Amino acid sequence: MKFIAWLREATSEATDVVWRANIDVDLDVPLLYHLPPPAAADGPAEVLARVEAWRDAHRPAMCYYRVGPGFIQVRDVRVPQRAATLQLDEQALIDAFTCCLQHRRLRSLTPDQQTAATRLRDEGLLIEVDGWVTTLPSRMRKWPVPSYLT
Amino acid sequence: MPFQALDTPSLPVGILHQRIEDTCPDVTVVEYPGALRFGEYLFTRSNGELTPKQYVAVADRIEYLLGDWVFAGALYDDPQWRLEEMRDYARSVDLDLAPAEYMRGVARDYVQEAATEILAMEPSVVGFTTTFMQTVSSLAVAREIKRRRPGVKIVFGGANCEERMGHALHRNHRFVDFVVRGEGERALPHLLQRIAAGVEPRDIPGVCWWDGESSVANPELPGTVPPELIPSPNYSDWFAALDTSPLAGYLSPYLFVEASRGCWWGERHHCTFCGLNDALIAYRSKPAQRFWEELSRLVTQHRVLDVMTADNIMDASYYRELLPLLERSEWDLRLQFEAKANVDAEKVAKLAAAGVCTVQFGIESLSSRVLAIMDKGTTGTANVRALREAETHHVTVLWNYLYGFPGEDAEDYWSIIDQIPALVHLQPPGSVGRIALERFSPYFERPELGFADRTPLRFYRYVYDLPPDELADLAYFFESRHHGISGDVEKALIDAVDQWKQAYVTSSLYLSVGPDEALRIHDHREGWPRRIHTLTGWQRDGYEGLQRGRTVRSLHTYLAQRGHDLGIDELTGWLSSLVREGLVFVDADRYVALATKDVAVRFERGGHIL
Repeated sequence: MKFIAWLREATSEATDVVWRANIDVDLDVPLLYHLPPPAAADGPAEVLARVEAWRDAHRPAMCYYRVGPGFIQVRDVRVPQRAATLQLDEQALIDAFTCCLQHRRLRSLTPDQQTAATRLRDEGLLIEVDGWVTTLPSRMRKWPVPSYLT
Repeated sequence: MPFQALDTPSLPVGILHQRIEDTCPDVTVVEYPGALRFGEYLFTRSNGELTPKQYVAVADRIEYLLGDWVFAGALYDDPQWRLEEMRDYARSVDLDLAPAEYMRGVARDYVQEAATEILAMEPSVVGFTTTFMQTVSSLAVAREIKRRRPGVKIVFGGANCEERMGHALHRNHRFVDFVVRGEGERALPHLLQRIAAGVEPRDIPGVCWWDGESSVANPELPGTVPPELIPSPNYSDWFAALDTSPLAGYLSPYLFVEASRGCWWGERHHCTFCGLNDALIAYRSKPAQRFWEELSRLVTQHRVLDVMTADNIMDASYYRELLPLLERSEWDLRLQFEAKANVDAEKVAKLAAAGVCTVQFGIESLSSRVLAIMDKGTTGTANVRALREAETHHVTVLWNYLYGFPGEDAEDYWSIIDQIPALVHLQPPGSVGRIALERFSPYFERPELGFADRTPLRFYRYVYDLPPDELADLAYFFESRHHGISGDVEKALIDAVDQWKQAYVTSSLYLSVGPDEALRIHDHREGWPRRIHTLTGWQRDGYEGLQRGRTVRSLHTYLAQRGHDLGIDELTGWLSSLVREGLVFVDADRYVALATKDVAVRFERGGHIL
């Protein structure tokens, strides 16, 4: 989870990351399609196939967030058929989203934050593995080129 | 009215809405979002087949006046009017006319519906603003309103109504009661007061009105509207309409704002092809703090972070005064500005840090000689520096390569075409094309510059049922004899830009500095050997000196100041080798470094943000 959070921050800074995966947990890989896929992977054929799908699906700006006055806007096109722009304006959601940018145990959050974090998880905006959670969308600081308003 | 963009409110409507509320307390302003309604109408009528994508496909074809043609049948009560002529033309250029034909087939019904909805608001006055391709849809709706309720006063204004164009539009359309020519912030409130009082607007400069059956055009006065009279646009009605629109899911709304009017470069050196009206070119800008407060109010109110500016050129003082305010907000805004191209690394860094992610630098060409012909106030090497810094700072550059200037010759292009393979890691032009002849441009106003023979673009004949002399006054785009390059060099330029576009997505040429302080240039450009060039000593300092365009002598002086005593011949030989390796660009005896300090994120398979 710490590495996923790091990968998310690297994506935000447009840093090239070349890494090798050794996935030994039951990871919902499509949730990570917006992050740089591993150049290579170790593991059973089924895992390798999931990594291959990640490489095929990945493109810039698939799931990112932007901070506005009193709200966080999330654009999520990881599944093109369900492309959506979400506006987080409930304070509890904003708090949980921001708090979980640092990977942490779900149970370390306040009850309100845990409720909000669960809602974010159900929307695919937060990942949970073995009781650990971290926020998934990367902050859009460097737009891909070309970036058009229209 | 169509074909205004669907994903942003109309800036002139927003400004005039607020201006009338500020100055005419007895007037109630109600907006009709005609473009959005037409988009919805198409979507519903076609059972979801025609989405904003097809609308944009028509709205983008201003070179064919396609959006105006869509409504011409409705304006003249004849669906067949100029249908075959446009079909013939479309076949000759392989243009898919099907969406436009469908829209034309339903345009009359939309006009009826729009008139019904507008009249249901019980208006005394209905105003239309027209820029680009909004004139014929506006005329068709205005005509229907007047037919049903002759007492309603019809007012037109907007960029398509400036000077002669406004008078021609008025005198040829009896159902248009008034045309406001020029900026509307002063004239429109005065006109509404005259209408309310039942008095003819004889004293309002620039307004066209009817004296019996005679169209009268009041002379326009010199002078422009100061920024203090230009309010922040009121977008409440438009966003309320969007909230309940079936198109909402198809649109990514952005704010359209205005920090300045006119052009601070153009008021001294009007670029020869630029169709900005001389009468309105005087530059005025809002103080940075005021603009920031207006923008932040709009962002907070509408929760929209994408911002388009209407400015022809960004105020140079904004680098100092506005951009730091944007950066300090810590909001993730995404702005688009037009700015002068002679920008150094520091300025582009400031743009990027402020969230100005897309810039139209007005690059137009990479040849200093051609740029001088167009009086552009920049050089080939300055333009390449702007492209290089934009790449380093992840800023999208909007630009087109223009040709066809009187006085240019093939050599101005061959020298650039030869070097395009070295530029493939920088953002290519969106298109390459011959300049258009626009009203108000020096090329139009001064026939001695080469475009003496001119006739309105042929498509005006497919859109307006008017005699040639009236069209000549109404039109903005004109055709003329071609100037400048043609044939092989024209084709070579088009081909080279095509290859540039293809190579860009996977090309990079970037710098790194290692612990040994050597400068390394990593060449990952398509068409070049993959290699690392290592520069040390005076060569490292020399490449650093070429961050801006320099002549050999200027570079010689630069290096001498850093303790490097080199002969001119040695330096010239080194620069030639850098040109051969594609590490510098040369134009008009000036050299500029090409390697970037970072590599922008690209869409490797092409495409753009979804």
